[in-house]
Amino acid sequence: MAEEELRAKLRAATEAFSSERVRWLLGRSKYIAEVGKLKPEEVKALITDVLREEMERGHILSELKANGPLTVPELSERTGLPKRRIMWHLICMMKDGRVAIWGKKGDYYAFSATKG
Amino acid sequence: MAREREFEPLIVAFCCNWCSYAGADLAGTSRIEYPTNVRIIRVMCSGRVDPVFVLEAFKMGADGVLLTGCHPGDCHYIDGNLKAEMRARYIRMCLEEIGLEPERFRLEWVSASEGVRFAQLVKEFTETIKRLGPSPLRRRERG
Repeated sequence: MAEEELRAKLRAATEAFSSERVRWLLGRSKYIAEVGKLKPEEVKALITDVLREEMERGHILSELKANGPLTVPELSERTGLPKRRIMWHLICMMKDGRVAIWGKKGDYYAFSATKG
Repeated sequence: MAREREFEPLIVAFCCNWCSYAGADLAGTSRIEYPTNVRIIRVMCSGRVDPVFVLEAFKMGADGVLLTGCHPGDCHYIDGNLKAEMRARYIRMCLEEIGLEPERFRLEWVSASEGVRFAQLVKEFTETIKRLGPSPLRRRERG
C-alpha cells in the first residue's frame, strides 16, 4: 500500500476516534451494557459499526480538507466508497455541520469541510 | 565499505505512573538490561491514553506502540486499565482496517514490582517488531 494512502487512512482513523459519536459510545459502553439496554456483544458490534462509519466519514473529511471542495463522484473515486454511501455520509455530516455545500462543479454539487 | 545496518525499531511505550513506570524504573535500578529501542512516556493512568495518541505515534513514524498499565483490580483509579483494555480492542481493529499489522500495538499489565517482566516484555516486543520490519510510515531519512 502506498505511504500516502496509509497516511490518509490514519488521518481518517484519527478523525473517527476524535468524533463525538465514537467518544461518547466508548465512554458509555460499560454503562449501556450494565443497565442491560444492550448485551455486551451488541455494544461491541455497535461500536465497531459506528467506528467504521466514522472512519469513512473521516476519510471523506480529510480528502475535503486536503483538496478543497469535491463532488460526490470525485469523493467516490478518491475514497473507493460507493456514491450512494458518500451521499449518505455527506447528508449526515451536513446535519452535524461538518460539511457544507460549497457551490457547483459542472452538473454536480461540490462539498467542503466547515471545521478547521 | 559500508556495513548494512540492522533494523532498529522505534517503540513508544506509554507507562502508567503507579505501576508500569515504577516497574520500568525498577528494571533500570536493578540494572536489568533491555533494548534501548523503547521510548517511555509516563502517563498518570493507562486509561489516560486516548486512541488518538497511539495513532499519532504511528503517524510520526513509530514502528510499535506499547501500552502498559496496572494489573486488573490494581488500578490506582479503580478501572482506568479496564477502559484502556476496551479501547485497545478498537485500536487493534482500526489498525487492521487501515492496513497496519495489529501486532504493532500491544497492551500489557506490569506492576511496580515486575522489573524483570518489564524488561522481558520490551525484549519480546522489540523482537516482534523486528520480525514485522519497519513501519511503512517510518521516515526513510530518520536516523
